[in-house]
Amino acid sequence: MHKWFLRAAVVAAVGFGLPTLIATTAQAAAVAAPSPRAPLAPPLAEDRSYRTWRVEDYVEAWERYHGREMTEDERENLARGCIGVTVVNLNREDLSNPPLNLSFGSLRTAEAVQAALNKIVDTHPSPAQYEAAVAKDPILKRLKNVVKALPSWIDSAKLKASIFSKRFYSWQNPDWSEERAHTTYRPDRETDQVDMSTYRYRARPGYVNFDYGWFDQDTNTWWHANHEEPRMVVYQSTLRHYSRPLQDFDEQVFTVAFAKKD
Amino acid sequence: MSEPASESMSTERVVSLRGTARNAHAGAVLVRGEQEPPVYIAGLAEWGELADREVEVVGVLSEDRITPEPSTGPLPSHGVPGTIHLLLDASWRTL
Repeated sequence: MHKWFLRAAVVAAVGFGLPTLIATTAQAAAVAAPSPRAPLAPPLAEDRSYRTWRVEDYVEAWERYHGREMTEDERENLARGCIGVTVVNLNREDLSNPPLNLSFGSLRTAEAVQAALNKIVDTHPSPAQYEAAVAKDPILKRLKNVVKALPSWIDSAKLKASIFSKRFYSWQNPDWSEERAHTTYRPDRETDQVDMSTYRYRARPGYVNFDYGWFDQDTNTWWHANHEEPRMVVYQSTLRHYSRPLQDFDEQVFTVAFAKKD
Repeated sequence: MSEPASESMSTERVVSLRGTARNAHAGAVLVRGEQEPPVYIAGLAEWGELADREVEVVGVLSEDRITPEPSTGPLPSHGVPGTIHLLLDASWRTL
Protein backbone atom coordinates (compact mmCIF):
# COMPACT_ATOMS: atom_id res chain seq x y z
CA MET A 1 0.00 0.00 0.00
CA HIS A 2 1.36 3.39 -0.91
CA LYS A 3 2.39 5.87 1.77
CA TRP A 4 -0.24 8.51 1.04
CA PHE A 5 -2.99 5.95 1.51
CA LEU A 6 -1.52 5.15 4.91
CA ARG A 7 -1.33 8.81 5.79
CA ALA A 8 -4.95 9.35 4.79
CA ALA A 9 -5.93 6.41 6.96
CA VAL A 10 -4.02 7.83 9.93
CA VAL A 11 -5.73 11.18 9.54
CA ALA A 12 -9.13 9.51 9.28
CA ALA A 13 -8.44 7.39 12.34
CA VAL A 14 -7.77 10.32 14.65
CA GLY A 15 -11.25 11.10 15.86
CA PHE A 16 -10.80 14.63 17.20
CA GLY A 17 -9.52 18.10 16.30
CA LEU A 18 -8.57 19.09 12.76
CA PRO A 19 -9.36 15.80 11.02
CA THR A 20 -12.99 16.00 12.17
CA LEU A 21 -13.25 19.55 10.93
CA ILE A 22 -11.68 18.49 7.66
CA ALA A 23 -14.19 15.69 7.18
CA THR A 24 -17.06 18.13 7.59
CA THR A 25 -15.51 20.71 5.30
CA ALA A 26 -14.63 18.14 2.64
CA GLN A 27 -18.27 17.09 2.45
CA ALA A 28 -19.25 20.71 1.93
CA ALA A 29 -16.60 21.14 -0.76
CA ALA A 30 -17.85 18.04 -2.57
CA VAL A 31 -21.11 19.78 -3.43
CA ALA A 32 -19.46 22.98 -4.66
CA ALA A 33 -20.64 24.32 -8.00
CA PRO A 34 -18.74 22.96 -11.03
CA SER A 35 -16.36 25.15 -13.01
CA PRO A 36 -18.37 27.18 -15.54
CA ARG A 37 -15.90 26.81 -18.42
CA ALA A 38 -14.99 23.72 -20.37
CA PRO A 39 -12.14 21.69 -18.90
CA LEU A 40 -8.65 21.91 -20.36
CA ALA A 41 -8.97 18.38 -21.69
CA PRO A 42 -11.45 15.52 -21.68
CA PRO A 43 -11.34 13.21 -18.65
CA LEU A 44 -9.56 9.91 -19.08
CA ALA A 45 -11.62 6.99 -20.27
CA GLU A 46 -12.53 4.68 -17.40
CA ASP A 47 -10.21 1.94 -18.63
CA ARG A 48 -7.17 4.23 -18.95
CA SER A 49 -4.78 5.23 -16.19
CA TYR A 50 -2.91 7.86 -18.20
CA ARG A 51 -2.64 9.59 -21.53
CA THR A 52 0.48 11.01 -23.17
CA TRP A 53 0.38 14.47 -24.74
CA ARG A 54 2.86 16.09 -27.11
CA VAL A 55 3.99 19.42 -25.64
CA GLU A 56 2.54 21.37 -28.56
CA ASP A 57 -0.84 19.69 -28.11
CA TYR A 58 -0.76 20.49 -24.40
CA VAL A 59 0.10 24.13 -25.13
CA GLU A 60 -2.81 24.34 -27.58
CA ALA A 61 -5.22 22.95 -24.99
CA TRP A 62 -3.81 25.24 -22.28
CA GLU A 63 -4.20 28.30 -24.54
CA ARG A 64 -7.78 27.36 -25.41
CA TYR A 65 -8.58 26.91 -21.70
CA HIS A 66 -6.96 30.19 -20.64
CA GLY A 67 -8.20 32.16 -23.66
CA ARG A 68 -4.77 33.55 -24.46
CA GLU A 69 -1.42 32.56 -25.93
CA MET A 70 1.22 31.12 -23.65
CA THR A 71 3.97 33.70 -23.23
CA GLU A 72 7.60 33.05 -24.09
CA ASP A 73 8.41 33.05 -20.39
CA GLU A 74 5.70 30.47 -19.73
CA ARG A 75 6.98 28.28 -22.59
CA GLU A 76 10.45 28.40 -21.06
CA ASN A 77 9.00 27.40 -17.69
CA LEU A 78 6.96 24.59 -19.25
CA ALA A 79 10.15 23.24 -20.84
CA ARG A 80 11.45 22.49 -17.31
CA GLY A 81 9.28 19.34 -17.25
CA CYS A 82 6.78 18.46 -14.52
CA ILE A 83 7.73 21.43 -12.37
CA GLY A 84 7.08 23.66 -15.38
CA VAL A 85 3.60 22.20 -15.87
CA THR A 86 2.72 23.23 -12.33
CA VAL A 87 4.36 26.66 -12.68
CA VAL A 88 2.38 27.57 -15.82
CA ASN A 89 -0.86 26.43 -14.20
CA LEU A 90 -0.23 28.58 -11.14
CA ASN A 91 -0.29 31.36 -13.72
CA ARG A 92 1.73 33.77 -11.58
CA GLU A 93 4.55 35.85 -13.02
CA ASP A 94 6.02 36.29 -9.54
CA LEU A 95 6.74 32.58 -9.01
CA SER A 96 9.83 30.74 -10.25
CA ASN A 97 9.05 27.52 -8.38
CA PRO A 98 5.83 26.17 -6.88
CA PRO A 99 5.63 27.21 -3.21
CA LEU A 100 5.73 24.25 -0.82
CA ASN A 101 4.86 25.94 2.48
CA LEU A 102 1.27 24.60 2.58
CA SER A 103 2.06 20.92 2.01
CA PHE A 104 0.09 18.05 3.55
CA GLY A 105 0.29 14.31 3.85
CA SER A 106 -3.06 13.60 2.25
CA LEU A 107 -5.17 14.93 -0.59
CA ARG A 108 -8.15 15.03 1.75
CA THR A 109 -6.45 17.59 3.99
CA ALA A 110 -5.27 19.64 1.02
CA GLU A 111 -8.82 19.78 -0.34
CA ALA A 112 -10.17 20.94 3.03
CA VAL A 113 -7.52 23.69 3.24
CA GLN A 114 -8.22 24.69 -0.35
CA ALA A 115 -11.94 25.01 0.38
CA ALA A 116 -11.28 27.11 3.50
CA LEU A 117 -8.93 29.44 1.62
CA ASN A 118 -11.30 29.85 -1.33
CA LYS A 119 -14.16 30.67 1.03
CA ILE A 120 -12.05 33.58 2.28
CA VAL A 121 -10.68 34.87 -1.04
CA ASP A 122 -14.15 34.68 -2.60
CA THR A 123 -14.98 37.66 -0.36
CA HIS A 124 -12.13 39.61 -2.06
CA PRO A 125 -10.43 40.52 1.24
CA SER A 126 -7.61 42.98 1.83
CA PRO A 127 -4.44 41.38 3.24
CA ALA A 128 -5.51 42.48 6.75
CA GLN A 129 -9.00 41.05 6.27
CA TYR A 130 -7.46 37.82 4.97
CA GLU A 131 -5.23 37.52 8.02
CA ALA A 132 -8.18 38.15 10.34
CA ALA A 133 -10.31 35.55 8.55
CA VAL A 134 -7.50 32.98 8.76
CA ALA A 135 -7.22 33.58 12.51
CA LYS A 136 -10.92 32.76 12.89
CA ASP A 137 -11.05 29.73 10.63
CA PRO A 138 -11.06 26.45 12.60
CA ILE A 139 -8.80 24.68 10.10
CA LEU A 140 -6.50 27.44 8.89
CA LYS A 141 -5.73 28.94 12.29
CA ARG A 142 -3.92 25.75 13.31
CA LEU A 143 -1.62 25.69 10.29
CA LYS A 144 1.72 27.37 9.66
CA ASN A 145 2.48 29.69 6.71
CA VAL A 146 -1.15 30.44 5.79
CA VAL A 147 -0.78 34.21 6.07
CA LYS A 148 2.46 34.36 4.12
CA ALA A 149 0.99 32.11 1.42
CA LEU A 150 -1.16 35.00 0.22
CA PRO A 151 0.50 36.98 -2.59
CA SER A 152 -0.65 40.33 -1.21
CA TRP A 153 0.56 42.15 -4.34
CA ILE A 154 -2.15 40.41 -6.41
CA ASP A 155 -5.78 41.52 -6.12
CA SER A 156 -7.44 38.79 -4.06
CA ALA A 157 -10.37 38.79 -6.49
CA LYS A 158 -7.97 37.23 -9.01
CA LEU A 159 -6.82 34.42 -6.72
CA LYS A 160 -8.00 30.87 -6.22
CA ALA A 161 -6.48 28.17 -4.04
CA SER A 162 -5.30 25.22 -6.12
CA ILE A 163 -3.64 21.87 -5.47
CA PHE A 164 -0.58 20.11 -6.81
CA SER A 165 1.32 17.07 -5.60
CA LYS A 166 5.04 16.52 -5.34
CA ARG A 167 6.87 13.20 -5.18
CA PHE A 168 10.46 13.29 -3.99
CA TYR A 169 13.34 11.57 -2.19
CA SER A 170 13.58 12.23 1.54
CA TRP A 171 17.39 12.15 1.90
CA GLN A 172 17.79 15.85 1.09
CA ASN A 173 21.00 16.37 3.05
CA PRO A 174 23.91 13.91 2.68
CA ASP A 175 24.88 14.59 6.29
CA TRP A 176 21.52 13.33 7.58
CA SER A 177 21.19 9.91 9.20
CA GLU A 178 18.79 7.42 7.66
CA GLU A 179 16.45 7.99 10.62
CA ARG A 180 16.53 11.76 10.09
CA ALA A 181 15.73 11.34 6.40
CA HIS A 182 12.82 9.04 7.11
CA THR A 183 11.25 11.32 9.71
CA THR A 184 11.87 14.83 8.40
CA TYR A 185 8.90 14.92 6.01
CA ARG A 186 6.47 13.06 8.25
CA PRO A 187 3.13 14.92 8.51
CA ASP A 188 2.20 16.60 11.77
CA ARG A 189 -0.08 14.22 13.68
CA GLU A 190 -2.68 16.88 14.43
CA THR A 191 -2.70 19.04 11.31
CA ASP A 192 -1.25 16.70 8.63
CA GLN A 193 1.00 19.59 7.55
CA VAL A 194 4.47 18.67 6.23
CA ASP A 195 7.42 21.00 6.89
CA MET A 196 9.20 21.31 3.53
CA SER A 197 11.64 24.02 4.64
CA THR A 198 14.64 21.66 4.40
CA TYR A 199 13.79 20.43 0.90
CA ARG A 200 16.59 21.08 -1.65
CA TYR A 201 15.47 19.40 -4.93
CA ARG A 202 18.05 16.58 -4.52
CA ALA A 203 17.55 13.31 -6.41
CA ARG A 204 18.11 9.79 -5.17
CA PRO A 205 21.35 8.84 -7.00
CA GLY A 206 20.53 7.29 -10.37
CA TYR A 207 16.91 8.40 -10.36
CA VAL A 208 14.75 11.35 -11.42
CA ASN A 209 14.89 14.28 -9.01
CA PHE A 210 11.15 14.79 -8.42
CA ASP A 211 7.72 14.64 -10.02
CA TYR A 212 5.16 17.41 -9.68
CA GLY A 213 1.53 16.70 -10.55
CA TRP A 214 -0.94 19.54 -11.15
CA PHE A 215 -4.45 18.58 -9.95
CA ASP A 216 -7.03 19.27 -12.63
CA GLN A 217 -10.20 19.18 -10.55
CA ASP A 218 -12.43 19.55 -13.62
CA THR A 219 -11.36 16.10 -14.81
CA ASN A 220 -9.98 14.57 -11.60
CA THR A 221 -6.63 13.99 -13.34
CA TRP A 222 -3.04 14.98 -12.62
CA TRP A 223 -0.76 16.67 -15.15
CA HIS A 224 2.95 15.87 -15.03
CA ALA A 225 5.78 14.99 -17.42
CA ASN A 226 8.56 12.54 -18.26
CA HIS A 227 11.39 15.10 -17.98
CA GLU A 228 12.46 18.52 -19.25
CA GLU A 229 12.99 19.42 -22.92
CA PRO A 230 14.15 18.10 -25.31
CA ARG A 231 11.95 15.02 -25.87
CA MET A 232 9.57 16.13 -23.14
CA VAL A 233 6.05 14.72 -23.12
CA VAL A 234 3.18 15.64 -20.82
CA TYR A 235 1.17 13.02 -18.94
CA GLN A 236 -2.47 13.24 -17.87
CA SER A 237 -2.84 10.59 -15.17
CA THR A 238 -5.19 9.22 -12.57
CA LEU A 239 -4.00 9.78 -9.02
CA ARG A 240 -3.34 6.07 -8.68
CA HIS A 241 -1.07 6.05 -11.75
CA TYR A 242 0.71 9.28 -10.84
CA SER A 243 1.30 7.91 -7.33
CA ARG A 244 2.30 4.37 -8.35
CA PRO A 245 5.29 2.87 -6.52
CA LEU A 246 8.54 4.06 -8.09
CA GLN A 247 12.11 3.63 -6.87
CA ASP A 248 12.82 7.33 -7.30
CA PHE A 249 10.61 8.55 -4.47
CA ASP A 250 9.84 7.73 -0.87
CA GLU A 251 7.70 10.76 -0.09
CA GLN A 252 4.64 12.46 -1.55
CA VAL A 253 2.89 15.63 -0.44
CA PHE A 254 -0.26 17.42 -1.54
CA THR A 255 0.26 21.16 -1.63
CA VAL A 256 -2.14 24.08 -1.66
CA ALA A 257 -1.06 27.30 -3.38
CA PHE A 258 -2.75 30.38 -4.75
CA ALA A 259 -3.07 30.42 -8.53
CA LYS A 260 -4.03 33.51 -10.47
CA LYS A 261 -7.28 33.50 -12.43
CA ASP A 262 -7.14 34.77 -16.03
CA MET B 1 27.80 -15.74 -14.29
CA SER B 2 26.67 -12.77 -12.24
CA GLU B 3 28.75 -9.60 -12.27
CA PRO B 4 29.95 -8.20 -8.94
CA ALA B 5 28.05 -5.12 -7.86
CA SER B 6 30.28 -2.11 -8.40
CA GLU B 7 29.92 1.48 -9.48
CA SER B 8 33.02 1.07 -11.63
CA MET B 9 31.64 -1.73 -13.83
CA SER B 10 33.33 -1.58 -17.20
CA THR B 11 30.88 -1.00 -20.02
CA GLU B 12 30.24 -1.92 -23.66
CA ARG B 13 30.37 -5.67 -23.02
CA VAL B 14 27.83 -8.41 -22.51
CA VAL B 15 27.05 -9.01 -18.86
CA SER B 16 24.68 -11.11 -16.81
CA LEU B 17 23.28 -9.32 -13.75
CA ARG B 18 21.03 -10.52 -10.97
CA GLY B 19 18.81 -8.35 -8.83
CA THR B 20 15.28 -7.19 -8.13
CA ALA B 21 13.02 -5.91 -10.89
CA ARG B 22 11.73 -2.45 -9.95
CA ASN B 23 9.96 0.39 -11.72
CA ALA B 24 11.43 3.88 -11.89
CA HIS B 25 10.11 7.10 -13.39
CA ALA B 26 12.50 6.89 -16.34
CA GLY B 27 11.97 3.17 -16.95
CA ALA B 28 12.40 -0.35 -15.63
CA VAL B 29 15.49 -0.90 -13.48
CA LEU B 30 17.44 -3.74 -11.96
CA VAL B 31 18.26 -3.07 -8.31
CA ARG B 32 21.23 -4.95 -6.90
CA GLY B 33 21.40 -3.45 -3.43
CA GLU B 34 20.45 -0.28 -1.58
CA GLN B 35 23.88 1.31 -2.08
CA GLU B 36 24.30 0.34 -5.73
CA PRO B 37 23.21 2.53 -8.64
CA PRO B 38 20.27 1.14 -10.60
CA VAL B 39 20.77 -0.49 -13.99
CA TYR B 40 18.13 0.64 -16.48
CA ILE B 41 16.73 -1.82 -19.04
CA ALA B 42 16.81 -0.05 -22.41
CA GLY B 43 13.40 0.11 -24.10
CA LEU B 44 11.44 -1.29 -21.13
CA ALA B 45 9.13 1.28 -19.51
CA GLU B 46 7.89 -0.94 -16.68
CA TRP B 47 8.28 -4.54 -15.52
CA GLY B 48 4.56 -5.28 -15.30
CA GLU B 49 3.89 -8.52 -13.43
CA LEU B 50 7.61 -9.09 -12.95
CA ALA B 51 7.93 -6.05 -10.69
CA ASP B 52 9.53 -6.92 -7.33
CA ARG B 53 10.62 -10.36 -8.59
CA GLU B 54 14.21 -11.56 -8.55
CA VAL B 55 15.50 -11.70 -12.11
CA GLU B 56 18.61 -12.33 -14.15
CA VAL B 57 19.18 -9.95 -17.06
CA VAL B 58 21.65 -10.42 -19.90
CA GLY B 59 22.60 -7.49 -22.11
CA VAL B 60 25.26 -5.07 -23.27
CA LEU B 61 26.23 -2.80 -20.41
CA SER B 62 26.45 0.84 -21.38
CA GLU B 63 26.78 4.17 -19.59
CA ASP B 64 24.65 7.01 -20.85
CA ARG B 65 22.22 9.77 -19.92
CA ILE B 66 18.61 8.67 -19.76
CA THR B 67 17.17 12.22 -19.64
CA PRO B 68 18.59 15.67 -20.41
CA GLU B 69 20.78 16.91 -17.55
CA PRO B 70 18.47 18.74 -15.14
CA SER B 71 19.30 22.20 -13.86
CA THR B 72 20.16 22.36 -10.17
CA GLY B 73 20.18 26.15 -9.95
CA PRO B 74 17.42 28.47 -8.76
CA LEU B 75 15.18 27.18 -11.55
CA PRO B 76 15.43 23.40 -11.11
CA SER B 77 14.28 21.27 -14.00
CA HIS B 78 13.06 17.70 -14.19
CA GLY B 79 15.37 14.78 -14.97
CA VAL B 80 17.96 12.28 -13.81
CA PRO B 81 21.27 13.95 -12.88
CA GLY B 82 24.42 12.47 -14.41
CA THR B 83 24.91 9.24 -16.30
CA ILE B 84 23.31 5.91 -15.51
CA HIS B 85 24.05 2.28 -16.28
CA LEU B 86 21.94 0.90 -19.10
CA LEU B 87 21.54 -2.63 -20.43
CA LEU B 88 21.06 -2.70 -24.21
CA ASP B 89 19.46 -5.60 -26.14
CA ALA B 90 18.50 -7.09 -22.80
CA SER B 91 16.76 -10.40 -22.16
CA TRP B 92 15.73 -11.70 -18.76
CA ARG B 93 14.36 -14.58 -16.77
CA THR B 94 12.94 -14.88 -13.28
CA LEU B 95 14.97 -16.68 -10.64
